[in-house]
Amino acid sequence: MKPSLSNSIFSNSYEEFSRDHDRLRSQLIDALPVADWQSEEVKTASRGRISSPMFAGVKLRFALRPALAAAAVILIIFGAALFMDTGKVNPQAAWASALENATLVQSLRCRMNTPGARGNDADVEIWWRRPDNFRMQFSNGLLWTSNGQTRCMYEKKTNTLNIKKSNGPGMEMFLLGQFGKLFSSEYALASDWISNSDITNSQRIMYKGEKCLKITATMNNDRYEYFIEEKEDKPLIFEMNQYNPSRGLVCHLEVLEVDKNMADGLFQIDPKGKKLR
Amino acid sequence: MKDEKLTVADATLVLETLQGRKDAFGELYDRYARLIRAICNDTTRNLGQAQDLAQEVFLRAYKKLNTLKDPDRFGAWLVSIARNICREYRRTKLRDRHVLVGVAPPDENLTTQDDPPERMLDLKEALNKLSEKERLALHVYYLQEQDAERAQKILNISRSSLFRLLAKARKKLEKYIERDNKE
Repeated sequence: MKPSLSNSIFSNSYEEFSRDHDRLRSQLIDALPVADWQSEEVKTASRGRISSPMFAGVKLRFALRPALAAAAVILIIFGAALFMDTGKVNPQAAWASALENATLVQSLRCRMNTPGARGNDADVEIWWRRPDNFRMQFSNGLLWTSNGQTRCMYEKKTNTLNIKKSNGPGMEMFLLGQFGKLFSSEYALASDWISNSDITNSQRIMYKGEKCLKITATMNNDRYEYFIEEKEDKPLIFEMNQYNPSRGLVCHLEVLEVDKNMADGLFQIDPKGKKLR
Repeated sequence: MKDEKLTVADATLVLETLQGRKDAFGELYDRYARLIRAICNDTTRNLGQAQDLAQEVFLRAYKKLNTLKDPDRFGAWLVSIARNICREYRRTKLRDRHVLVGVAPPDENLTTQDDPPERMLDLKEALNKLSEKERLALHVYYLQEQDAERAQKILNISRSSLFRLLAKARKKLEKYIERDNKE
């Protein structure tokens, strides 16, 4: 396309869609109603629980236990069938098995890094314990926790703490992408991970001093590398890299600990001198 | 130039909205309002009505935000809501017209891709002659800071399909404009 055409498209035809933006924006924000997912919460609050207008929606979405069980069964069958067909471990089966084993994990600590432009990487370290405890510590000073009853968001820069009612592990785990879904009730969605991926390569390698299976797969144009422990007893994915064709590495995830005891104190925050929001 | 706010993922803003932060929804509005108005304008061919329709799109999205399966795909989800609302608008317009006059007269506000390019006064008119898919690709690409990755995510197509679609749309535009200039 000629540059002049693309410029004129933008300036002549699209400029009008910015007209009155600020006015329309404030009009909309003022008119935002109490959504269903908020009114649920108000009902809860009126029963004398912690008052907060949040996360009721998440509660509705995460009532998917039967789906979780069904998906786990599908995965087991799928994995078993592959083992039986070939008589040896094949990458798809090993991967399915690793995903299925994730459902048996009781606690997990992991770190995710998303490289940014000009070295502005973002890190988040996550502690997660069944059924719905988590702590997420972001490199920009944000800290989110949930202990099943309350959900806290703390901003170090302003020393402000926001406390809400908790309704499960919730969407925070979605920050981890497909991997996070394994540890929420949206686990059923992870089955898509298998069906939508195309395994392009697999090899047994020594990685960081450990024997492991490295699986390379593509999904939605992105390339994924999974490192799976090579052991008979419940092998798990312990590292994952995601590469985008244009941006290169977009996510690196590393599992640091599995099934270690985690103190309850990890999942609540009470900073000194905090301001409540 | 890319918007600084784009460094915050849509998923995070969706999450914060569900936590009760209306400001976060405001940021999503800043990101997508122009695109949604452009999509609505394709149906209404009237900016004021397009603005009203776009507000309805965001209101509906807000009310249904908890049903969004994957917060990272907010853009694609919002576009699908916009297209549904536009369909409803077209149906309502047609119904109203039937009630009033019994027989549907030609409606200049509801021209489609099949209409012959009679007079191409400017690029805007040429845009209206593209298919919905081509127009949407241009809207998404140019109203999302020409970020191919965001565009392909919203349109749910591969990078190569996106550029193929854009190239086709541009070629058609150039043809229409050239024809108009000759006339």
